[in-house]
Order: sequence, then C-alpha cells, then structure tokens
Amino acid sequence: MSSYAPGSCRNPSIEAAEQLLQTGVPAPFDIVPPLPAFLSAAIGGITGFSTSLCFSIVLLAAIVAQAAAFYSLARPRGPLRGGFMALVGLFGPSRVYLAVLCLDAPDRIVFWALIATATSLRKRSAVVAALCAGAAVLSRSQDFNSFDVVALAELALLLGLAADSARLRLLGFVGLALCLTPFGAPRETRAGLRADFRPDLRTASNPILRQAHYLTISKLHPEASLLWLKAGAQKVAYGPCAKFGHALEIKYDSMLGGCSFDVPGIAGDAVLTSRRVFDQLQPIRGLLDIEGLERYIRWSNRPEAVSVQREGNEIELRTSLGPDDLILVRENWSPNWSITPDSAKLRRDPLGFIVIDPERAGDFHAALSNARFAPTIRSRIDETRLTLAKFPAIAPGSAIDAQTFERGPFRPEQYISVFGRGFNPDSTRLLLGESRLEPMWVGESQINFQLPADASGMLELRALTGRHTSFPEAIEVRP
Amino acid sequence: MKPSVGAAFAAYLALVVLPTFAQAQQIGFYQWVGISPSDTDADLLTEARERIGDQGAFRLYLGARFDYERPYLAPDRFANLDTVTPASILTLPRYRAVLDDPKLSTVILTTYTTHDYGGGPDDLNLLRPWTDFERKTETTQITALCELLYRDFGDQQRTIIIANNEADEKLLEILNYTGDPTQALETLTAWINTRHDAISKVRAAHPNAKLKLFHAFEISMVRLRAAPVRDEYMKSSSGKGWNALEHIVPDIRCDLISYSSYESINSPYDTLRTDLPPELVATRLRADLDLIRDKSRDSISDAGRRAFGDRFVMIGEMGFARERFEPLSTGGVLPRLNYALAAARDWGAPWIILWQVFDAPKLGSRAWGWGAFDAAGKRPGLKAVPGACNTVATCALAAVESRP
Repeated sequence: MSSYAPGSCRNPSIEAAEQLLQTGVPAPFDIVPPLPAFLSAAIGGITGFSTSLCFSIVLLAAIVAQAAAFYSLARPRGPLRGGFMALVGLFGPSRVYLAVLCLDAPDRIVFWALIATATSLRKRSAVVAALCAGAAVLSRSQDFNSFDVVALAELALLLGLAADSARLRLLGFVGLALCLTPFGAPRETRAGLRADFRPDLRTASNPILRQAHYLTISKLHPEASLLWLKAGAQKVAYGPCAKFGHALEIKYDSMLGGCSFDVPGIAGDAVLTSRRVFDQLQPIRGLLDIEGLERYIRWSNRPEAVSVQREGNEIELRTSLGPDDLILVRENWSPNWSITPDSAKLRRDPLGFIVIDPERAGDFHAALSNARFAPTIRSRIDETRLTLAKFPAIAPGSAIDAQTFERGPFRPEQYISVFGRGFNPDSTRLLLGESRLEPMWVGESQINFQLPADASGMLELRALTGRHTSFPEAIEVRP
Repeated sequence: MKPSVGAAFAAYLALVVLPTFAQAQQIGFYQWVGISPSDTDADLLTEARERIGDQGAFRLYLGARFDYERPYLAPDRFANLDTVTPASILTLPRYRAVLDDPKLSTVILTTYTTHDYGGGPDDLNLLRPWTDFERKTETTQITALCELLYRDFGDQQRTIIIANNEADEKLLEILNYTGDPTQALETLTAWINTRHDAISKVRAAHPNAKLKLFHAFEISMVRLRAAPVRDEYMKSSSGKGWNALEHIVPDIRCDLISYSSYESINSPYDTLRTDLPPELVATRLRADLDLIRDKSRDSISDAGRRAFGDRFVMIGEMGFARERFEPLSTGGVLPRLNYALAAARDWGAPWIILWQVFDAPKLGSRAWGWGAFDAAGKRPGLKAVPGACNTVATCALAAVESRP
C-alpha cells in the first residue's frame, strides 16, 4: 500500500521505487525515498537500464557498503562474523537514512564518525572523547534524542565486540542485535519502519514537513499533530489510533498498532488563497506553534481548487483569478522552479510550498517547470531544526479591565487581565512594546498585570516564556 | 362609504391573521455533510430522508461543493453530470427522491449556483467583486431551478424554500479574504437581490401554481458582529463591525428570514458561558427572534407578508453538540433542546429545522456530535427530560404534539 499523495510522484525514480515496493522485495522500506530513488533514476538515465533494475543496483550497493563499513569497524571474530555482517547489512542503511533524511540531523553522522574513530583506535582516551561527544548530543533539549540513546548504546556494545573477552563479545553481539532490529529501536524509529507510517516523498523532501511527520506518528502532542496534518494537507494521515481517534474519522485499522485517518477539507494540490492573509503570515516558529499553524491553516485550507496537470517535471495550472487571489501549489519550493508567464512571481509559504503571485485577475494559464527531478530534490528551505518548545498565545481581543471586564481603551496604571493558553505560572512574563512588565499573577490561561504610569498610545503586548513570545496583541492606552 | 367595524375586522382576519396561521408550523431536519451508518448501502441523503420519519420538513445542500455520495470536496463529485448547476444536480435520483417523497410537505434547498474556475465545478465565488458575470450566472441558474420546480411540482400542495447558508459566515469569509468591508457588503447584497429577483419573476409567471416557492435569507449573527481583532475579522461582542442583520437585510428583499440560531442557544454573546440553566436558552431565543423581526420587517416581500404575516422568521438551524453540552452540570442536550423548541414554536416560527440527521465527520474541533443518529445508525444515549422526551426525535415530536 502506497502512502504517496496522488500526483506528487510523477517521475521515473519514484515510479521505480513504487514498483519495487509492490514486488515485495524484503528491503527496509525507509532506504527507498528519496536518495536511492533519485540515484536509480540517474543511473537509468546514463545506462538505459530499467528504473527498477537501477533501483535494485543502488539498493544492493548501499547494503554492501554499509556491511563493509561495519565489518571494518568492529572486526568481529569467530562464528559471529557471518551473523553480524548479515545484521548490519540489513539494518545499517536504514539507520543512516533515519539520521540524515528522516530526522534531518546530519550531525548524527559526525557523532557516528566519532564512534567509528574511537572504536577503531581502541584507545581509552578516544573512547572517552566519543562518549563525551555522545553525551553532548544527548544533552540537547527539545529534540528527538531516543535515536541518539540507541546510537550511544551501540557504541558501548561495539566496544564490547572488540574486547578480548569472549563473554563481552557475546554480550556486545546480542545487545547490538537488539539495538539494530526494529524491536530494539525507539518508538519513532519503529514507526518509521512501518510502511504505512513512512513519509510520502513530498514530506520526506521538505525539512519542515519531515520533522512534523515524526511528531504526528509519535504518541506526543495530539493538538499540534492534528494541526500539522491539516497544514501539511494530506488527505490520509497515519498515526497512533488513540491519538487522533477522538478528532478524526478512522479510515482503516492496520491491526498493527496504528491507524489511518481521513483529514477533511483538502481541496487539491493547488488552491486559490488570499493575498492579504499571505502577506500577514509569519514563519512557523516550532513544532508546537499552535497559533502559527492555525493561522496558516485558515489561509491555506481553502476550497477553491485550481486545475493541476503534471507532466514529468512540469506542472500546468489553469484557473480564473480574482483580484485578491494567489495560488498555493502544494509542491516543495526550490530556486530551480521557473514559471511561464514570467510576469507571475514565485514565492514561498511558511511550510516551504510554492505560492504563485499572478499579479493580475482573469483567466490564468501557467506552467511551472524544474530543471531537476523536482519531487525528489530536497527543498532548499530553512534547514533549521524546529524547536519542540511551547509558545504562549494571547487570545485575540482578550485584554479586559480586571475588575469591570470592560474592553479598552485603557488608562495608565489600570489593572488588566489577558487570556490565552500556554502560559507558565513560573516563567511567563509580559512585554509591553519592548519593555518587560512584571505580571501580578500568572495562571495557565490568564495573566493579570498593571499598566505602567507612563504607558500611552497603541501598544503591543506579548507574553514571553523563556525565549519564546506570543503573537502581539494590540491594546490602546489613553492617559 | 365609511367601512363598518365588522367589515374592518373581517378584512383584518383575511389579510393578517388567517394568512399568518395558514402556514402550519413544522419541525424538520437538516442533512449536510455527515457519516452514513455502516449498516446501509444507501447514500447519505436517502438514508437521512428515510430516517426522519413523518416530520414533514427536510433541508439539504444543493450545490457543487459536495455530493451526498462522496466526501466534501472529493475531486470526482458530480463526475456523471455534463454541467453542474442546482437544476442539473436536482435531476440525480437521490436528490429527486427528496422532492418526490410524499411525506415531505416542505423541502428547503440550501442553494448555491456554480461555476468552474479551473478545478472543477464550484460554488459561485463571492470573494470577488460582484460583476455582470456573477449576476448573469446567478440569474440564469436560479431561474432554471425555479422553472424546473414549477414544471415538475407546480401542481402539488407543497412548499419549497430556496435559501443560502449563514450569510454572516460568508461575510466573515469575504472580510478575511479581502479585508474590504464595502466589497463584502455590496457583493452579498447584490447576490441576494439578484437571487430574489430571479425567484420572484418565475413565481409571478406561475400565478395558479399550487406549489409555494419562497426565498429565505439566512443569517447567524444577531448581536455579534464581524469586527477586526488583531489582523483578522472575528465574531465580536464589542458592538463594532458588521453583520448581515444590520448591514445587509435593510438593503435586500426576501420572503422570509432564516435564523441559524447558535448565537442564541449555544454561545450566549454576553457571558460566553455555556453552562447556564437551560431555561435561559428560551429567554435568549425569544428576545433574538423579536429583534430579528424588528430589524427585517421592511425587507420582507409581499409574498412573504401574505404567507407569514408577522411570523416571517424561521429557525434554519438548531442543535446542540453532545460532546459540549451533554456533560454540563446544568443539564445536557435534551433539556436545552426542549426549551429552544418550545420557545421557537410558541414564538410562531413557521419552520424549525434541527441540525442534523446524522453526525458530521469529526473535524478535530471539540464541539462534535450533533446528529439525531450516530455513525452506527443508533440514537445517541442522552439524558432524558423527565416526562417529556429521551431523544432528539422524541423531543421534536413532543414539541409538535404539545403545540398550543
């Protein structure tokens, strides 16, 4: 069963990947998109071999390369050699894929390189240095680090394999086997190994959506995950049954601990959207940026669909435009895209999709083209890791007099209450303009404060928790 | 000759009182997007129509955004129609069966004219300035629909109402899309007047028809308004901003007002608290119906005055979400529904339409579970009103039977 979004994978490499999966090749699925698929297309273009054959060649080469690398690293001895090689050969590539492409963390490769160096040197100082590096990686907060936990455990076990003691070698082998198999991997890794939970190609190629994908298939943060499902505009989503069962219609129970869900209200791959709202959109600040996601969804989840036809690396669009319309195309933006007519402008939305500004009303016919294999190219959008921090949010229009509940304008020194969510009683503070304001009381959804004596005019009020602020709420103060 | 008191009283009875009560009150059900029960092969529309029993009034959506056999915005909706218009959709058997159903003396069609803007047939785009193109499209398609209704049902004693869906929601949508209140009000006003002209002209061409064809204008905000809050337009109780009752109704003509009544019965604008005594639902609804009548009296057509007298406000939508209201300490869904039904009935609303036969799909929002039937096709278990009713349907029936 393929989870690719319709129309998002119309090029030979993707078709090859899908064909191979449909043949039932017993390969870890997650080494399929996008790099091996892209490479197979390239080999096919040079040699003229069928894309499926090219893909098999790439797959085989990847497995052999990984097995050789692990063998040279750990140098297992005796009867364990064959089993170990088979194990790392089968599961090693999937770990690299998870590190680099799914978790969007190339720094894991540096971490692994340190492991390799330390192990091959077999010197205590090198081992200590590698462990310190591992601890540094693990100490980062607001990140999926269970992957790193397993990687660190692997380091210790590899050292065990390299030891002189036969018991330690056996212990290292069993431990490593557990870590490398899906059963020993952390949950998000296990989920990633399930075919239904793999990201579709568009998601895998987009750093923002890819990070969001791993949030949605985890058990964590159902509210934000649901918003990501809607924002990412996939008609069918996969995730833990209990996480979305209360909010979405379950479409298909896989009987394997996960469910698929209908995500309602998606009109198509390209829709008309408001220029006015687009101009006010702000970047998505983190995986739990509820307010930013809600704004994005209000802008993007429109029902007015545009005709979309894909032909290779071209997307043809036809519609009739109003004066306030932009076109959102749910395809990853990259600078390699060009558009005809060139009077139209290409822009990028906060999720990394393409936005066309036609700069005119009336009938509109345009062709988007990309010199490269567009759907497989990693989107050149912001590669910054999205934080898992919670953002405070002030409910729009919620500032009232704390005693009379009347709305503004307010007076200097007046006692004010604002309402919202994500406030932390211990750490949330207020910013009035650029000045810090000490609240009198902070609850989880309410903050009480007194306006300064010198406050005057239209002022922006923001809640501040740690380094993260809410969207500004304008209040008027009249002396 | 000076008219006698008796003659004046007779004229009063003939012109005002009798027509007012000529339209018997009916309680009916709406079906919009929903989940068909798993134990049936019938489409959602057919299943909903067959489940409502003998209520006699039924409301459905007649437009391009969704078909009752396919999900909302499904790409191949109406693939088997050459052209998609309200009249052509009505030729599909499942839609036609609603109008052919002898149990239904009133059918309310939430009607949207259609145009293909590139991505397939869609509702006429009201986010744009109203031009001659929109006027022609609306006139042509509404005229064709009315002609079809008179041709096929003109000799039947029944009522068909052509309505829009909550003009205030569309007002908010246009405001947020364009940021232009003037354009939003002008577009909606021109749209409704174009529609009314088309309906009136066809009606005038069929003076002897038994079919009663009316045009209802639906609103949803009474005291709330669409106002700019931060950089968005939202429903606001600040008294600033715009709503259809204040800023569109005075400039339009229609036969009756349809009130989607959630502001009165679900979300009291003044307190924003839902957990209040159920009897307050009736107080608020009565007051809001009076206000709507006062504000819209001059916009009602002659046909509307003749048919409804002073009771020209119907309840286009009424309902309570199980998830939100059933757990409340002040009583669940049914006590509130009972008070709301009684208030609307006693006020004289000609139709009271309950939202809806089957639950809508879950949309991730907290307020869910509006259906008289759930996805299993069963009546949801709700706390009964002692001595009155124990389901949505029995409450509706009780409201009819206890009519004074």
